[in-house]
Amino acid sequence: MAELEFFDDFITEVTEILESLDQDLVELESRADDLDLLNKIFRAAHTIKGTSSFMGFTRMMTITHKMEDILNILRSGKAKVTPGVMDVILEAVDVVKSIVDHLKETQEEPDIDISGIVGKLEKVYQELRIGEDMASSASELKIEEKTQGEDIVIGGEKPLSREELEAFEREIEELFKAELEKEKVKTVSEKDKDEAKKQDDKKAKENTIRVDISRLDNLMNLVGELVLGRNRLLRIVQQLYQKYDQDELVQQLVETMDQVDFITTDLQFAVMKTRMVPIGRVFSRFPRVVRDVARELRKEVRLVIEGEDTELDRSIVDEINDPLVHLVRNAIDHGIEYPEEREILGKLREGLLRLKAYHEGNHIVIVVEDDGRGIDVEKVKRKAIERGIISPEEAKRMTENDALNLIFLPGFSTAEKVSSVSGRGVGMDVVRVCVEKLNGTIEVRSEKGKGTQIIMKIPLTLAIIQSLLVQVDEEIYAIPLVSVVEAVRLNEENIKTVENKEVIVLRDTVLPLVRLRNIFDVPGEPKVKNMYVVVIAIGEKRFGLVVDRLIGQEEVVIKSLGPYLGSVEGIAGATIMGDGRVTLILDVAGIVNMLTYSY
Amino acid sequence: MKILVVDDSPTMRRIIVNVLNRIGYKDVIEAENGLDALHKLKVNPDVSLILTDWNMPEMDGLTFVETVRSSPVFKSIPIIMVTTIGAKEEIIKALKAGVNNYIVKPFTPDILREKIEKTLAQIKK
Amino acid sequence: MDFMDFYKTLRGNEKAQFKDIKQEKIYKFISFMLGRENYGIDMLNIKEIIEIPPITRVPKVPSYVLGVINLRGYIVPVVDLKKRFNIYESMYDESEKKIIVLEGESKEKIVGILVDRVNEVVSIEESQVELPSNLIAGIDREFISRIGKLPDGKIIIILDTYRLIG
Repeated sequence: MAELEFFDDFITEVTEILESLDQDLVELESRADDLDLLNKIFRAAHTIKGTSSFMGFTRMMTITHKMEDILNILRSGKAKVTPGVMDVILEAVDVVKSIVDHLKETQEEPDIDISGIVGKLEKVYQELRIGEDMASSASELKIEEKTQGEDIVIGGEKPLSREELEAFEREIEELFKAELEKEKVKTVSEKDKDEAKKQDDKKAKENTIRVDISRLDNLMNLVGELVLGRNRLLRIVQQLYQKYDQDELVQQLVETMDQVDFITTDLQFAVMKTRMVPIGRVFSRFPRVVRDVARELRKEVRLVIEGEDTELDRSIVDEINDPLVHLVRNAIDHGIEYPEEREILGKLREGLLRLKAYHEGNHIVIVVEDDGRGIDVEKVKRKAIERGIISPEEAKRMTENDALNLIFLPGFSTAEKVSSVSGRGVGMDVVRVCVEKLNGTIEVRSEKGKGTQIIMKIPLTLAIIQSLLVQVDEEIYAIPLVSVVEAVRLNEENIKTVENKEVIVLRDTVLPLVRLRNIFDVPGEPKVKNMYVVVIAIGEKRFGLVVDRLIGQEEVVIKSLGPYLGSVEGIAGATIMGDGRVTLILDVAGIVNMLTYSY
Repeated sequence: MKILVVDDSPTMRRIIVNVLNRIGYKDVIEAENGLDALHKLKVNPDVSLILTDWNMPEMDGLTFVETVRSSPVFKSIPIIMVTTIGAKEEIIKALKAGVNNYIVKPFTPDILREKIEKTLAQIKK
Repeated sequence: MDFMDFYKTLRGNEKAQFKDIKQEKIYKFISFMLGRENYGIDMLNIKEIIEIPPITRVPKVPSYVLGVINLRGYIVPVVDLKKRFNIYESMYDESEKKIIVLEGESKEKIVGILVDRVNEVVSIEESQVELPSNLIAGIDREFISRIGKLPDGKIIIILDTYRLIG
């Protein structure tokens, strides 16, 4: 029965299971005889098999059924987990994932041939069984399992026919009777296993419910509205108080207003918290990534994950995965040396890769760290000169740190040979763009021969940012405060022209200027006196944004401009101010891009 | 008649509940593992039938059945173990632990109805 | 404000009317003015009709996009439909202008259109609606879905909402 009404539940559940399955499987390689872990993995395959068979997704069912058979032998302890077995199981998981991806899009299984992977699984299964038979000659409870392994029919695990069912039930009845006879001798150890299991999974799955993300978005909107209403109410209450400060009723009103004010702020915070998820959701995929890349490149890598409980907004979690994968691949490919090389260098054969997350104020800091060969600053400089990114003179003047950060510039790649792992045309600049899109920053630290550290700093939530409100003529814009270095007063006579570009000299450095009025075609007459320059830093680039007036700092809730307008050059989104008006939020990275032509 | 369905897979629970509804059992409560089921039983002493899965985290089906059978209050609630065709060993263990009946997945609504009726009839005797 | 009440009453009546007439399909539109012409938009695509709130200009977008407004916490773009269709006459007082908020199939697709004046809800029988002929001059044909004839003999140009929403 293909039950489409259960489809969404099914997909949600299977996706969740697959996420933790990857991590568990990789962990299993190092803890091959952890029975709890094996049981958990077995349950995962078992559940997917059961539900997919109900849904009528026969390919998925067939693969997971085979996996279940293998895992069943493994958890019986009669055969060992080997890298070969793991490879096949992981491959099977990948096929299941691709089926799930296809299901998400079309609600139907892809029309793919799975006989390859099923064959591989079958082979492993048979090999393990031979091992098992040899090992189990001593075991006392032996029940034939001829139904296992032979009833895989592509086209569906159908409910049994009445005759089959009756035959099966008779068989069970007999076995049961025989068991009862033997009952007199009983083993006691059985119970202990269950005890241990009880302790384990306790942490997971406590009191949680699933909520559609759009409901949370809606809630967030409503709270935003509530905050606006509160702000208006606050102003009215203040005015009322100024007029009738002796009135007892007004005094009570002020008190009540204070309470409502406080609760509203709390509520806003609480709603934001509901959207937060632990970064572990992303980190959990990495044991697998690291394992695969390391195997492919013949490196030995030990992954250490720290701070997986650190929370951040769910929309960011989805965005952070790709840059992280890239950084991790890079670290293994370019950072960590070959085992033999490491031995000669007096390092452990196994390279160390650390993924770390922690909170710092309103930001989450994510660090990718390796103990590999580090980055050769001189080589970076040479390359940058070769590529025309910097001049030889600039290279000489550059601090070591500035030079290292050249790797984030477009068109820069230090890989000497193109490997299939990281030489896929995307460089660190792509990572930087991803991070900056999230209003975050990225920097690199490295010591030659000792290792490299990439540090990303990203706001906890995309939804709320600190901003600097500026005004040009009648228009108000919000600039994300992370990119603002400082703001200084400016008169027309301070502006100099160099090669037809306007610049100012600020503390001995030449700062290119951009007039917000010009790039956004703001109507009205330009000011000449008492303007302001907001100094913006984005990556290595710095520029001054010329505005008429600074209004002040404010926390704003970012909203999208919607699908009709799509992405607008230089605009990251909009926010609704206390008076109900819409203010646009600048996309400083976008503005830099608008200017690259004119530099 | 109130039925308790115990399964760690939400999809599976929905499927079973749906089948139960279809064959006329509307009063169904759910639990996601044995431990959760025990809590549910405490606040729903009027449960008159339990359908439970075997493989579940926190407390598996077998432990759950054993616990229910050793409880003075709940020990006589009929239990049907939902299991798979390959799992003969499991079925035997479940029967030994005191389940009244078992049903192999996947099942049709008809079979489920039969099993329920049969189980309830047995109890009456 | 009172327009909304008027509009709601009409929407209420709509249901009653559907019961009575079964033989012929009835189309229901909000009719409004752009310059001197009567235009119509399917009631089903209309989220609401509002007075003009403060509009925030958005740079770097086509000139017919007036900007964005705040509709109860949602950011809604507003299109000047006359500019979109290159209509230059003005027959009505500025104060009569309204924004009709349209909603696409997916709820996120919301667009407001600025019109000169909102007239009323009109019901037209299927037989009074036809595909646009080449005789219709003026606005881009691609935005017209049908041409209708009103009971008083006037012509109403029915717009293709999904085209408008983009």
